[in-house]
Amino acid sequence: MGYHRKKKPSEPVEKVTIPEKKPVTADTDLVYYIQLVKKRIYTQWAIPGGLRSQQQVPVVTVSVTILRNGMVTETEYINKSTNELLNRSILDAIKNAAPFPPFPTGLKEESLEIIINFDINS
Amino acid sequence: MRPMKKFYLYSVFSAILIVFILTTQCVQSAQVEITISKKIDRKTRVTLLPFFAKDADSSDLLLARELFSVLNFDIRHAGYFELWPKETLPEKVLERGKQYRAMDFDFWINYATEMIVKGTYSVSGSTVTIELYCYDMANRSTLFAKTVSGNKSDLRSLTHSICGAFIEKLSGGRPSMATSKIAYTVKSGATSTLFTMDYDGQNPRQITFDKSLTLNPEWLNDASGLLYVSYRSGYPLLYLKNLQTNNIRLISDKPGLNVTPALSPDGKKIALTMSFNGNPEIYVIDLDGNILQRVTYDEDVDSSPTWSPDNYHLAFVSDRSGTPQIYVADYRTGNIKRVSYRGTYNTSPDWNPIAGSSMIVYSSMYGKNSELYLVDINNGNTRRLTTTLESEEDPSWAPDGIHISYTLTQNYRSYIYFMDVRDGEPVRLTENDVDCRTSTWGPAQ
Repeated sequence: MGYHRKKKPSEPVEKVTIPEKKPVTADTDLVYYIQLVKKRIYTQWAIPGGLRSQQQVPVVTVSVTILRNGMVTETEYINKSTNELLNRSILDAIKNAAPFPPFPTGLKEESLEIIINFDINS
Repeated sequence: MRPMKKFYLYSVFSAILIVFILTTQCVQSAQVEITISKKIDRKTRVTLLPFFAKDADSSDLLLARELFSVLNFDIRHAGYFELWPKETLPEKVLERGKQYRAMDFDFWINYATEMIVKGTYSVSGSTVTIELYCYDMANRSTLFAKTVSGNKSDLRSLTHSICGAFIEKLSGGRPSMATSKIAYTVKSGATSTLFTMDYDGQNPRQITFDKSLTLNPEWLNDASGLLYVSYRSGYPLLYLKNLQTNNIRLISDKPGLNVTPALSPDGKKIALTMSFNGNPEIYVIDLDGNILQRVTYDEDVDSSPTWSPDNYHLAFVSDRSGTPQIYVADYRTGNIKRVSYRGTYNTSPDWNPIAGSSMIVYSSMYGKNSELYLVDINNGNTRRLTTTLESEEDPSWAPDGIHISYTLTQNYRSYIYFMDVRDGEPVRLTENDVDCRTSTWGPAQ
């Protein structure tokens, strides 16, 4: 036998308004997913310490293509550094960060091409 | 047949169109651009290879081992490098390093190293010639190459000098501590004796021989001599010993105290504490002992001055606020401002020697122990450098402005240590059976 508290009729009924759930749009999913990719690559990026002595290091830009399942299919330099260790550190960071999680359901694209600028000056 | 053919062509065309439309609808791709900004958070990875004899017939294993041990210490403690890899290199890899050629870059890049440092030696009679090379893996180039020759008995100082040149180049011209020496006093009963040693604790040399209390060593800027305070005449007077000729010159013998000398960065003036007026005050004298300027005018004790790198300011200790605190005086205007507020017993300030630096290291009582602190006089930011249960005091900057030597006292015995102020890893320099104090780091030579 369970205990059931009888609702007193005199008790005022509190009105609870449930906030309308924010619709998940493709945009918020995209922003979320890009931030996740960015965070994972950032964590994996080990910049060569030798660059510390250089005044200005040019930004390296890489294009990374990620499939719906999170696999990286293509990595291509758009701006490459003359410093081979810096180039290598960037490719290593992407390689070690992959595979990424599958796309969120709100993201309908079959693949994403992310242009990443790697900057150590700021 | 003709209409059939036409129908067939239409069908094929429609099928292609449908496939094309379907394909473009399903395989959508978005393009996004982002920027990942990160600061360099580690040191340069350097692989050190053993020294090889240039001529296989003159191979001297002991000599090669000593060369490598000096190189290893200098690079490991320079503050810019991480020895790589962590584990010992296999024999096969060492052999490859011995036969190093430009075409080996890819091999070493795969080893994830950033620089290879390799040395050779050759011996002819009592003369030894050392060559040191550094190869930059990033740019596939020889970054450094230098040869030094000298007497075999000076092997360690020769190696320090070549390593110092290498470190200086890699640090963008900042002086290296590799060629520097540290002066310190060794206590024995009621007396203490002045010694010097290489910055790695090797090659100790006794400087004073009078059986009295010797204190406050201070290097000349070219390391040719040492100022120090001695009670040899019964009073604390200031002397200068020429380390080449061993000649001792009395610099200041005013009545009362003539202590805690600090040579100005331009090498022309000495700031010190004198009490001939009845109260310890900071004065500036020339190298002949003539008073150039009185810096403090206060009824409390002012002592332990240290110069700013621009020769215009002096930090010192004063108890004018009731407890010993660090103050900075403008040498030109006489304006004085207090810079330490944390703690109630702050002493032994030393101003970072790097041009433009506003960092002062000092000792501060923390409970029953003395600890080391760093203050930036521009903004008052203070950082505690030591957190051990032992007492650390009397800090002195290395010429590179990133290391300090200091005295650590444990169980009533004191030792000289040095540490990198950025990571705090202590390196002990003096032995168990010697009671060492008041270290002062000399200039790079």
